[in-house]
Amino acid sequence: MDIYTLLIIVHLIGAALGVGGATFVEIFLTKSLMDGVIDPTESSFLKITYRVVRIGLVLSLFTGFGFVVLYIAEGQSFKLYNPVLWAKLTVVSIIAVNAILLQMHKISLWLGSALSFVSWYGALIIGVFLTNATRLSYIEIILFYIIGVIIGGFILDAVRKKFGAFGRRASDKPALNSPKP
Amino acid sequence: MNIFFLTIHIMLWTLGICASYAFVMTAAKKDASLPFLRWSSLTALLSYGVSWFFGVLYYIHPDTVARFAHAAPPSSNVWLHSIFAESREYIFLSFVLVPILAGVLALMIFLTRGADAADTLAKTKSNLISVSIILTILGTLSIFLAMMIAS
Repeated sequence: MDIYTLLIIVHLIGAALGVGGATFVEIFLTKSLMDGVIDPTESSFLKITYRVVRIGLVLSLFTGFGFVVLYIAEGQSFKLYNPVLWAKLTVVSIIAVNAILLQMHKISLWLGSALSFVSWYGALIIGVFLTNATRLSYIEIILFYIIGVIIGGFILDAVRKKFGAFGRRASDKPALNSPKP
Repeated sequence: MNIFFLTIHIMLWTLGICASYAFVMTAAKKDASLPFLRWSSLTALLSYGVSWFFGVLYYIHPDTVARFAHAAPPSSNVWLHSIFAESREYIFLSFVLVPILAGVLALMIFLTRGADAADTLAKTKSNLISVSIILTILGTLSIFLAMMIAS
């Protein structure tokens, strides 16, 4: 197996962990917030899923820069001027910055979760564009991405409302040992 | 041989970015773990430091010097290439600054010890977060700019 194939495999594993993790964060968050509180079990599931997302990010980052070294070594450094690559780097940077803002509670859940969810899928789709040598400008990709974040934010909000997340308080939840009516 | 230097340089620099990012994420928590902060700051310092050393070995290697001397700008994005080519010296300055900043961060966290370590950490938290954010941003910008220089 050559280095390029190995890098592709690990990069795809990283992307799969990131996209899958981001999806399950949304599912667990919606499920957890249905009763208005996140109990310790739900919290531990969320923590593990966040860890999986971070492992995906680290794998993608290392293999991504591995491609850079490979391009330079093989005299294909002109590929580093591809605007699609820079759009992908921008989206990945947004994922990292958004995670810090969420951790510091400096961003609303509406925007934070939309950015995380859409950015991971965005990075995956842009990666496909890179592989297929799709010719798109940086501005076009970022414009589609911004529209995707806005639409994604409204869809995630609608899903949460449909399943009652934020809608009920903890006190509305019946205690486990309460007598049945 | 110079590709070996470049590989070690970029991979260790990436590890440094990951370590300083892990520092930011942990320091931003309410109950930040002091041992993890020490571990991540030390990893960042060592990674950036050793990476810097291998970076110097790469940039002074005769093959690299010859490639830079004879490099022609790409047919597309000539203006972008010229900006990066002109800013090469300034980017080397940021390469010097990043390991020093990582050293400052490690010093700040390793001096937080003793019985009142938790209180000191709580008081200096915002400063630690600021320094580590600057370190992560500078580290990331440096590697992006280095990508353009190396091409």
